[in-house]
Amino acid sequence: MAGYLEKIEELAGQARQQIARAVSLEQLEQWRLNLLGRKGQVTAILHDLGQVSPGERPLVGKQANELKNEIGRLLEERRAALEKEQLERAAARSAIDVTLPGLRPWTGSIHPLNRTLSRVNEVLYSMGFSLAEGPEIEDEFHNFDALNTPADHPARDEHDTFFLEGGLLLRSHTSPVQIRHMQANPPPVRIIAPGRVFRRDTPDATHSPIFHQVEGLYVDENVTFGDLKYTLEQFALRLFGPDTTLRFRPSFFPFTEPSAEVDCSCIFCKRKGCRICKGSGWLEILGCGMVDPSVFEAVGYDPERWTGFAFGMGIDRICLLVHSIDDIRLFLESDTGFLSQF
Amino acid sequence: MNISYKWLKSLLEFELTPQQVAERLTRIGHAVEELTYLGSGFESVLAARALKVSKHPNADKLKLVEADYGATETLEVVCGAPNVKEGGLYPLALSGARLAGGMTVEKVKIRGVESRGMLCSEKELGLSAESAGLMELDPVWKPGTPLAEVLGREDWMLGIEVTANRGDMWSHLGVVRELQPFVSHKLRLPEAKPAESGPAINELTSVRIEDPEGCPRYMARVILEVKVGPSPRWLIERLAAVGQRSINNVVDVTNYILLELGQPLHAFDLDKLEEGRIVVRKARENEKIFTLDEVERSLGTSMTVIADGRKPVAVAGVMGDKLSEVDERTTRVLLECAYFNPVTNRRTARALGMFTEASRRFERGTDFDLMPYAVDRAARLIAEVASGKVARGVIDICPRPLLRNEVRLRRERVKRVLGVDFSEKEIEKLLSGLDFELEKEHKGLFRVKVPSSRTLDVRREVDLIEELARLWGYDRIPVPRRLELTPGTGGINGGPEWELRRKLAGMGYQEVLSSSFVDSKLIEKIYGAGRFEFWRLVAPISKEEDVLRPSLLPMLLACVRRNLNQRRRDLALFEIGNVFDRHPGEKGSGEQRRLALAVTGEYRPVHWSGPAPRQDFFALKGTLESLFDWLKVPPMRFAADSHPVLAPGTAASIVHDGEKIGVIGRLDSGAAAEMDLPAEICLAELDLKPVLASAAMPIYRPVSQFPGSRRDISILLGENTSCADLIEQVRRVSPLVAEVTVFDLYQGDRIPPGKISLALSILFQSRERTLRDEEVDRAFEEISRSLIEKFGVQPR
Ligand SMILES: [Zn+2]
Repeated sequence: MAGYLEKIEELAGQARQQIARAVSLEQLEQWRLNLLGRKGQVTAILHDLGQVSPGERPLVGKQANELKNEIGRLLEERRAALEKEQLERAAARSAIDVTLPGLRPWTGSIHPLNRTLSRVNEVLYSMGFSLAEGPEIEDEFHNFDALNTPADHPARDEHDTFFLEGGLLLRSHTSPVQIRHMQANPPPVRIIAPGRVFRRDTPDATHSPIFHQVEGLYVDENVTFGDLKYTLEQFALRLFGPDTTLRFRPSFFPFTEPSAEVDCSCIFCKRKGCRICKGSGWLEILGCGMVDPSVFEAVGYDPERWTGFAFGMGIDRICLLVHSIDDIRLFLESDTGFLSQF
Repeated sequence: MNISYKWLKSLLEFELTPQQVAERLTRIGHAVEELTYLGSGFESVLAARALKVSKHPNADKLKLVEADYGATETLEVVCGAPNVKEGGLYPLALSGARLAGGMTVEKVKIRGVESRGMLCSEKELGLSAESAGLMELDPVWKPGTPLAEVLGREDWMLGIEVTANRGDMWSHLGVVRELQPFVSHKLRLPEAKPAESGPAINELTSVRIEDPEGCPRYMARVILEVKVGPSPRWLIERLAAVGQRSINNVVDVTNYILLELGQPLHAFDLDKLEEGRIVVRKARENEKIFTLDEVERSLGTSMTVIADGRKPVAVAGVMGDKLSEVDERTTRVLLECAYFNPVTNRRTARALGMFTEASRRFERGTDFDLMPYAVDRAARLIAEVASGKVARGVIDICPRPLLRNEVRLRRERVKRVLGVDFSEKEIEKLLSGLDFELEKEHKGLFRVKVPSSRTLDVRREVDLIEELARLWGYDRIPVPRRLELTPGTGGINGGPEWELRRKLAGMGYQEVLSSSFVDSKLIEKIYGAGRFEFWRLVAPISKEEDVLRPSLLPMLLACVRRNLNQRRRDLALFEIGNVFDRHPGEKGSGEQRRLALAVTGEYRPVHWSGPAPRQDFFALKGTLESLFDWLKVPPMRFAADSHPVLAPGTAASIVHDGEKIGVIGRLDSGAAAEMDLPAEICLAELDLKPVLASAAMPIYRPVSQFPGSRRDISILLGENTSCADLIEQVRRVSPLVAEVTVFDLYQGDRIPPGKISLALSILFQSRERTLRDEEVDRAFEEISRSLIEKFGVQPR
C-alpha cells in the first residue's frame, strides 16, 4: 500500500512540474493526455484501485481522486495563462507605431481677404443687410455724378481713377452699387455691396491699386444719424467683440452729409496704446454719413420723405489689422506660403 | 496744410495748448495728423555770454570760458573753437542736452579741467552740415533765453488733413475761424490799410477783364520804390515754421498772405509788363507762355490768362511767367488779387498738369469778400518789408459779384436727420459761433446768411445740418436702440459662390486672388492675336499691366510659376473673379464672373505609405465632377476640343445645356515655354453664372432596400470611341442599371494596336424588389449585344 501512496506522491510532484513548464498549448495537451488520458498515469492508478487491499482502498482512492482533481485544475490554469500569452503575442505582432505621420489630404483654404469679407458679410447679414452686386467696369454717372461728385469737383482727386479706352472707368469705390440698387428698387433699402475697387495708387506696403471694399446702405423713413451710430456700434461689437467702442469724427465725403470717419478702439491694446495703433488707442476702420439729398434726387427718391445712411470700409485694411499682416501687396502675390496660413 | 501755432495766436487770443488745439480741430472734422514741436533738439540749450576767455592750463588749443547763462552763477566750460571772444553770445548746451546733431552733452573732464556744458556750432545743433566755429547769436538777446526762442522755433506745427469741401481751411485764418467756438475772444484781423503816397494807381496802370466768367473780380495795387532783397527775420521764421523757404521780401509777402488768409496773390514787375497794363482774357489757341518753373507751355482757348498789352504773363490762378517775375532790379510792383472761377481754374491746372498752391485754393473757392482786405494788407506789408510806397488807390473790377448764400433751415428737419431735438436758441448759438448770420423767419424756420469764406461749401439746408452736428459733437448725438437688426435675405453663407469657395478649400484647393491687370503682349503671345477684344487702360501703372484680364488663366499660371519658383511643386489653386472681353456680341461691357483652377504635382503630401497619384487631367476633371454633383447641376458634358493654351488632344470644352461654358486640359508646351513653366499643369476655367444659376436644392430619393447584383464586362474599343457614349448606351438599354463604374483601362501589347480595353462594372438594382438572376443576366446580355451593334466593340 505504501507503494501506491508513494507512487501518487511522486506522480503529483512530477505532474506539477510538467504542467508549470508547458510552453505551448500543444505541449500542455500532451501532458494532459499523459496524465488524464485513457492511458494516462493517473487514470492507470484509478484503474488499479481494485488491487489495493480493502482496508487501504478508501485512503488510496481519496488520494488518487484528489490528485486527479488537482491536475485537472492546474491544467486549466496553465491553459488560460498560455492562451493569454498567445493573444498578447499575436497583438504584439500586429502593433503599429502610432507616432508615424498620418495620411493627410492637401488642405486648401479661402483667401484671407475673402475670409475677412465673409465674416463682415455674416455680421451685416445678421443685422438685416442683404447682398447687392454691381459691375467693376462703371460709368462716370454711377461712380461719380450720381454720388454728388460732378466733374471738376476737387473730391475727385482722392480717387485717382483708372479710365478705360472709350470713356468707361474701373469703379473707384463700391458706392456705385448703391446707385444701381436704388435705381432698380424703391425704398426702404438695407443692402451691403462687397467688391473689388481700383485706384491709381503707387503700390507700397499700405497701398495697392486694387483693393476691396464693403459698402452698406440703409434708407427708410425717419432714419437719423443716431441710428447710424447704433448700427455701426452693433456692427463693431459683433465683429470685434464685446469691449469694442467707436469714435465718430466729422469728415467729408461728397455723397454723405454729415459725414464721419469712424475709429474703433484698438483691438490689440484695448485703447492703452500700442505699435499697431501708433499709441493712439484707436484704429481708423470706416467712413460713413447720412445719404446726401442730392444722391436721393439722382435716383429718384424723395429726399424730404426718405433719409438714410451709408458706410464703407476697406476689407484689405481690416484683414491686415486682424491678422497682423504688414504688407498689403501680399494679398495679390498668391504665394501659398502666405495664403496657406489662413 | 501746415499750420503754425504761434501764427494762430497772432490772429486770435486763446489759452488752448497746441495739444488742445489739435484735439479740438480733430473733433470738429479737421484731423490733425501731425503735431511737431519745432524747438526739439534745442531743449536745454540757452543763449550764453562769454564773460571771460582764458587759456586752458594743460592744452594749447583749448580755452576756458566763463559763461553767463542767465543764472545767478556763471558756468565754466572748455571750448576749442577759434571764434570764441569775450562779450560774444553763443548757444550753450547744458549737461543732459540731446542735440539734433546727434550728441548728448555730459559733464566731462577735459585735460584735467571740468567742463559743465558745451558751446555749440551750427553743425552740432543740426542747423547746418558744416560749420567753422561757434554759432554766433545776435547780442540783443538776454543770456538765458532758450535757443528755440532766439531761432524763432518756440512754436508747434500742426499738420491738418483738409477735406475736399473746405477750401477755406488752406489758411491760418480758416483754422482760427473754426477755433472761435472754443474760446471766449473774437477773431481780430490786424490793421491792413496802407499809407498811400505818390501818384494814383490809375495813372500807373489799368486792368480790363475780357473773360468775366473766368475772372469775376480782379483787384490790384501798385507799390513803388520797392527794394527787393532778403526778408526780415520774423517773416523768414513764419514761413519756416510751416516748412516754406524764403525767396525774397516781395514774394515772401505774397506767400505769407496766401498762408494767412488763403488768398493767392501775384506780384508782377510793372516795368516788365508791355504797355504797363493788365488784360484778363481767354488764351488763344496754342498761345505760348514760359512759366516760372521754366517750362514753355502751350495754352488752349478754354484757359484764362493774365496778359499785358501783348502777351500772356500768367496762367490765371495757376502760375506766372518768367519774364514778368519780380527780381532784384524790380522797383515797381503790380500786386494782383483776384477771384478765378473754380471750375475753369481746375480744368486749366489739370490740362497743364500744374497743381500749385494758388490753384489748390482757387479751385476750392476763395473768399470773395476778403479780397479788399487781403490786397491792402499785402501792399502794406510789401511797403513795410521792402521799404516801398503804396500808390494811391486800388483797382477793383468786379463784373460778376458773388453774393453770400442764404439758406433756409428748419428745426424739424435737423431733428429728422440727426435725431437731436435742438432748441432754436441752441441752433443760433452753434451757428453764430462760426459767423453764420441767422434771422428767424417764423417759428422753427431760420434764414441763414453764410460767411463768404464758405460760399462753395454751404449752399443747402443739409450743409447747415452738418455744421450743427459737428459743432455739437458726434459723440453727443444720442443712440436710439430702436432699429430692428434682424437677419436679411440671401442666407448667412452668402449664397452659392461662397459655398463653392468653402467646398473647394475643403477639397484641398488654395484660393488665390490675383491682379485684374495683365500684359496684352503676353496674352497675345500665348493666345494668338485677335482672340480677345481687350479693355485697355488709358494710363496703366506699367506697360505690363495695360489691359483688363480677359481670362483668369494667365494670372493663375503666374501664381503657379511663383510657387514653383519657391519649390512648392504640388499645387492645387483656384480663383473666382471677373474677366473682361469686349468682343463684339458680348452684351454690355463683357464682364463675366469665372472660376479657374490649376493643378500640378502630386495628389497629396509625400507619405511613407507609398507614392501618391499625380494631379493630372482626370484629377482636375474629378474635382469638377464632384463639384457639379454637389451643386446638383444637370450633368455637364466634357467634349474633346482645342484651345490655344491647352495641349492638342488633352483639351476639352465643358458643355452645359448645349452651351460651351468652360474649358479643361493640360497646359500646351508652347504656352508653357512662353511663360517659363513646365507643361505638367492642368487647367480649367468656367463661367460661374450658368453653373450657379442651375444649382438646385437636393431632392431626396429613397435609398433602395434591395440588394443589387454586379456584372463585369471588358470591352475592346477603337481609340476614337468615347467612354461617355459607351456608358450612356449601357444606361439607355436597361432601366435596371443603377451604376456603371470604369474599373480598368488597358492599352498595350496584349491587345491589337489602336484598341483600348475598358472594364466596366455594372450594378443592377431596383427600388421595388430583389432582382432575380435570370432578369439580371437577360439585361446584361442585352447590353452586350447592343454595345456590339452600336459600336462594333468586342467583349473580351
Ligand atoms: Zn493699440
